[in-house]
Amino acid sequence: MSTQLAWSFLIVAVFIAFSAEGQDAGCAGCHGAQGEGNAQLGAPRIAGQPQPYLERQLAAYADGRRDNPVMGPIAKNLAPEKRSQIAAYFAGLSAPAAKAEPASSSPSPRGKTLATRGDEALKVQACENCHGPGGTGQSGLTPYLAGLHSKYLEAALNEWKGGQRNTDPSLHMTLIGKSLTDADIKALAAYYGSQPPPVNVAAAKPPAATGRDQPTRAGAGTTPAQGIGASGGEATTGGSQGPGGGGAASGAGASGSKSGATP
Amino acid sequence: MAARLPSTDVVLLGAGLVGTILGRELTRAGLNVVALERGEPRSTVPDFQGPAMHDELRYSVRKALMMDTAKETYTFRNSGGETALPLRRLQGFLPGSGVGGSMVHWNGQTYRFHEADLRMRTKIDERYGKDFLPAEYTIQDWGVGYADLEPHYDRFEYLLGIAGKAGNLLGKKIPGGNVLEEQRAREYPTRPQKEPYGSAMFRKAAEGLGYHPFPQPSANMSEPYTNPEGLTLKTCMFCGYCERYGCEHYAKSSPQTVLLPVLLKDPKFKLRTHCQVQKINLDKSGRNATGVTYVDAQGRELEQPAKLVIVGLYALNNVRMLLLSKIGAPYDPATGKGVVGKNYAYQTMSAVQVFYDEKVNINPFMRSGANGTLIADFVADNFDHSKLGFAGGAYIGEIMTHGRPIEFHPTPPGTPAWGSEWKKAVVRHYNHTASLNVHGSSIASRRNYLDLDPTYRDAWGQPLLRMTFDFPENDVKMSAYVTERATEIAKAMGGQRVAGAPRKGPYTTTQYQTTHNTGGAIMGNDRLTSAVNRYLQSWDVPNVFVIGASAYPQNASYNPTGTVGALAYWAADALVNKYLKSPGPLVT
Repeated sequence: MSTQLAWSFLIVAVFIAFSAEGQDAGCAGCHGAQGEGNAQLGAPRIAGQPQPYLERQLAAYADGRRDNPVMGPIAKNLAPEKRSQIAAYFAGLSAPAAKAEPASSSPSPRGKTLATRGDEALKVQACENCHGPGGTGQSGLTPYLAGLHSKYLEAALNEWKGGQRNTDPSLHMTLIGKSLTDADIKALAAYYGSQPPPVNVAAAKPPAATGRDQPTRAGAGTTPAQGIGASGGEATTGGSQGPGGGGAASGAGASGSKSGATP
Repeated sequence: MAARLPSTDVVLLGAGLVGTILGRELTRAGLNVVALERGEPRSTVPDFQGPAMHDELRYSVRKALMMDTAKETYTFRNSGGETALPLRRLQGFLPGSGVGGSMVHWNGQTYRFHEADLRMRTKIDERYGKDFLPAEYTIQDWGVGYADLEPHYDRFEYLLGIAGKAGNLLGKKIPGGNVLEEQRAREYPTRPQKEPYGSAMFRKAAEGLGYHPFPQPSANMSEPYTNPEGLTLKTCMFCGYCERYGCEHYAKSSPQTVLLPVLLKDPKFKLRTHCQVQKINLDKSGRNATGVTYVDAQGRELEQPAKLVIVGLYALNNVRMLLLSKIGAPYDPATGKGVVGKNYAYQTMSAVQVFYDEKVNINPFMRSGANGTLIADFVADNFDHSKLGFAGGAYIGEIMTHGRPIEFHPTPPGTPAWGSEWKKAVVRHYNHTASLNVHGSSIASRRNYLDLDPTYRDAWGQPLLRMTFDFPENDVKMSAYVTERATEIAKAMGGQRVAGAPRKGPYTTTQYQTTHNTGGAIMGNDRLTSAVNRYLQSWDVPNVFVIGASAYPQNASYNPTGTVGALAYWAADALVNKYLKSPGPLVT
């Protein structure tokens, strides 16, 4: 209850802080002046997250798809154009990486395994399939995870798991959240919390120098299938899916006598 | 002398679609089953995970999931007078290798055949007369009808969670679905895939011309689905890496996602990988199989005795296994006698492209292996052939499957094949081109067949399979007719320019067309004209069942996998409910 009380005060403070043109002023109370976030408050780093992603979150807070006692009331009071402006503003920021998280949350091998490889027994695919190598995100609706505070990541995964977050119409994140154990969620949150956030290549100004590497699109891949095919070196140009090209595959040529269509 | 292993009830050759379905049904019936797979074990995690799985050079160009042609391949020639040469690179078609078989790297386009396909000979004779086709076209009835297979199609579609929209529910026509389909007992298990922009333009154009467009039935999930085995598939993400790739998201139906996790927990099921089956062993009578001989990963020759042998390899390899094992009389094109290798057929493909101005964004990268829109108005015998002079047909659809950067470079005719002008044209047209596919049937011809190559052998010293094939005149005529219809639709799609051409011979294996090789161990009701009976049981060796597209007496307009699945369940049903109660020939 005491936490809820504290949040209530914060909400009031945030509302006051919103000014007519200072798009970031209100948000900065929790998310930091540069969007670097605040681990203690559980307010995530939002600097450099894709604009469509941020805008979608604000819309979801407003309409309840993302059920959050702090962000819900804030978002409801923002007109859609304002949400769009705020999203664009933070998408363009480049905050320095936070200090490394304390040793108590140092990554376990389990977190890295789930992030980069997945778990066949749980039928959970690797996070990197969508969130990018190293968890550095993709443009559009897929946020970066690297460098977000573990406390936030844990809360976010639990929201997926508990159904408080319904912003993924494919239901992938819902199914993944429900498949993960509490220990898995903690391990995964700790792993990404310990990773450096990506450099915001979209930001105009260069990132502040820090002691930590900030990859743009780094990170190792997973084990590839040990395929045995030996068919190498064929020409790689050509108009597949064209006259002569298939609906699916390689092949070229302008003549129907040369190649064909789909499997 | 091969070391002899303890006997088992059933040995499965191949752990792909057929092997896993039969493995599941036969262990359920209480039998001990050993599955022998030539390739490696594979599962969604870790083998299909990104970003490594999206390596287009490795998987599309170098074909990492396919049969290793350094060890075994096929030889090919266009006609009986030529010397066949080995395919040293896979290009025209792509047999998979490894657990899950070719279904790991398929697109997921899942159809049902028509009664007019399954009883093609009877139906053509009835509607157009016995002299409608030249005698060289050795089309036959399958020995089963649509009503026999409907419950098994249904079961297969529910195993896979196929996304689609029924157009004929127990005779009730439903606009928006395929109103020309044979009737189905119930709706598809999941709702149709989303319709891409290019497909929507196709739908409008086709409707405007009076046709009946419908969403392509898809094994790429439109929503999460839990199948009757209790396994959950997830939603397709439209990454455009289906064919030639495994799916990292558990979103494409394959043995890995719909059966294997259950099967591998069953103590009655044993999977052995890297096992190269050399032949099916027969007793002295030649009428009874005693098991198989295989070579394992250490090069040891082992004999696996079994009471029942299920051959569920890639269609071409089913035929080769029968020939190597001397089961059934090899087909002789000179006399037309013999059955094994007979009625090899393929698929007759062509395409038409629509080039748009730069305001129309097709976004071809945002696709899946099966999320387009098509028409069945020219499928099978859905249209009157009496004045056309050919049998068979094709579907026409805007069913683009990807916009992968190495493979997809649409340019209009007249563009140089390389150089800066070509590059400019690719940039100009990449995101502004829609492609229609014309996916056509392949008639059986006396001249197209499979046998053992007299010269070339595999890494284990066994003769390779020799393919003799060219497009029959019937199919060239069919392609010309249906591709013209496709061009008319393309012209109504609002582009600046349309380019396309029908399929013409000679067939070449050097450019991809389709992996739909069929026939060679065909099913039927007459032992003189088919290799297996209507239950896919060898006429000659009743404890051998040969299941797959090898059983197709000729190939239909639609993609073949739905029917492979239906035949697998049909054969499993006969095995469990008939054969096991009284082993022996199911048809005499």
